[in-house]
Amino acid sequence: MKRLAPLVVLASLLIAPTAHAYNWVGHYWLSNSVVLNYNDGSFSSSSLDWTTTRNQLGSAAGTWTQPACTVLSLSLGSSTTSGYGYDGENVISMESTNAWRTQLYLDSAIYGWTIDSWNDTSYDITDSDVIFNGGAMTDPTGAQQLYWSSMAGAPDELDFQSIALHEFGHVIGLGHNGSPGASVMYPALAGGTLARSLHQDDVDGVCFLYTNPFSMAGMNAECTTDHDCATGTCAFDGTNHTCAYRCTTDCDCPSGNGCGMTATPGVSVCSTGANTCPTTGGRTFAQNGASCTHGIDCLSSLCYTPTTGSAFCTNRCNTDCDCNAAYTCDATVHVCVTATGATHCTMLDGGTVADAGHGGLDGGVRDGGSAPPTGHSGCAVASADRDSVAWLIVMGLALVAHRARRRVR
Amino acid sequence: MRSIRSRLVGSLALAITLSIAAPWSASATVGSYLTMPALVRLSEVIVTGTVVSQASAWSPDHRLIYTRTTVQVTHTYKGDVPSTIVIGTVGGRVGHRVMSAAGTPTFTVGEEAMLFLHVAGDVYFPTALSQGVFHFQSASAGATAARDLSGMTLMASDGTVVASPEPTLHVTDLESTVVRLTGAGS
Repeated sequence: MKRLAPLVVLASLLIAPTAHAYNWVGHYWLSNSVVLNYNDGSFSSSSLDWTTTRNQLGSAAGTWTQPACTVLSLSLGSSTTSGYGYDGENVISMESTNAWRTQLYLDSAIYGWTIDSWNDTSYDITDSDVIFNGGAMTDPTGAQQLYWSSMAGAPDELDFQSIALHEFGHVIGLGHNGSPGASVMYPALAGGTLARSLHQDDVDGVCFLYTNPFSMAGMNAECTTDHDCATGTCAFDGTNHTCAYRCTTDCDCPSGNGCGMTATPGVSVCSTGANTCPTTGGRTFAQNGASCTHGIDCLSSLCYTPTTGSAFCTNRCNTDCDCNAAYTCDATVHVCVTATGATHCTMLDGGTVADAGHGGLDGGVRDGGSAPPTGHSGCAVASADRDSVAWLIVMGLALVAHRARRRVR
Repeated sequence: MRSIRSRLVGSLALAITLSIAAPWSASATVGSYLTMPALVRLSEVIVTGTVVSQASAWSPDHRLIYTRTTVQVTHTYKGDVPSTIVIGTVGGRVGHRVMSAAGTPTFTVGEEAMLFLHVAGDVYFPTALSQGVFHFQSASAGATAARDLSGMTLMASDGTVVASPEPTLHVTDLESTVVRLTGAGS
């Protein structure tokens, strides 16, 4: 899905510019999960207390994972003796003047650096290293020394946690934010000041790149921005903002829905009403498992492109219980994929799904080779065709909620 | 009205184009915005030259991608350098692997530039990353020089950010400033 992210970003710019101010630089962690190991030995020559420094690194990493709208996992791992470089291990280190100069080609005017490595076809970051200058640091005149501080107060002190928070924003794929006071990714930090909390723009950015699927609303649900909606569009009808599918003609909309203009010029969406599509009488959305090109092809709104194989419609999930039979929840990308082994939810006759001893929203820790659980405890749902039922429910709600709101086409 | 799919396909093409055109657009550097006197003072070598070739390759231990840019020196303002120098920078593309070394200047073969450099063995590297490279551009009113500071977090002495792009300079003004600050006659 994230492979389409560049496309989605630019499409949103072409179709309906949004108000966000975060800056995505074009690559991201496909797994939603980043572990940063730390070379604590490299900090030994620093004036910073290591225990405090480690806590501050952990706090900075954890700050990016706090918004409920993101599934990003960014955490400190363990001590390592490795340093920067493309080796599949993400490392935080502080480098001496010698390495800073002869290996990285940096000087005293540079304080911190992040090196990302990614594949230019998948945009998937596979290695990211954060490096702090452990040698001399100079101010703009080149004459005044600057120093690291765990609680910057003086103008010649650089707040370590604030800069770590900024650098970790780059680790996850965010660029600079040009709105003053609106982001920790704003490219300025005065000496002696602290910037340790995310702003709304930062939250929007991390949640765009690493969306919590269960924070996204379905069709007709109230919304604030496009990012709130599984349908991809938060449409404004002049009174309310609701999630909707975009369309150009009735043929883009399902039966019982027509394509109508919104209060936003140039934006049309599907809403409850007659469908006059001459050929099909309405669009048929692809069911889970069917091939697709974009999310709008799918009833679920999710067209997922696996690492190998073709894109297919599927559901977002946190556990196997969120998936149809024969599907399992891929914990790394939070989508239902074809099961190759046991799943935690076993489909019984008549369509009851049961999960013994799992549950929870941890993203799906699997027991792999254990026998498929049986029984009727845990996350039970009551239909073999949940998509159909969900769709009917959505349509019913849509009928009620939008009968009076439908605009004349 | 174009269909959404056609818009998306067009967007994908644009995304690919942009990704190819600016593979090192990541920004992840915190540094200091040096004054011109500081830039001159900190730099061991200051030259103008023409980029004649460029190549990226893995380091012998396969941990970093380095880009080596060969420059034909046309004038030396500070330091003692051979007629051809190699500028080393971290980052580049080898095959489908891209390594972004934020704030690192990029060069185009054939371009002219004024370079503020440090020396590390037989390799030269820009002072304060992109701050040390003034790219020359032809203009009807005379050649101008500009730095690409995108991707850098630059803090001025008062803590304010330095916006990018910064104003362009006339090459003649830049050269006279450097001559004055280095005390070197041209």
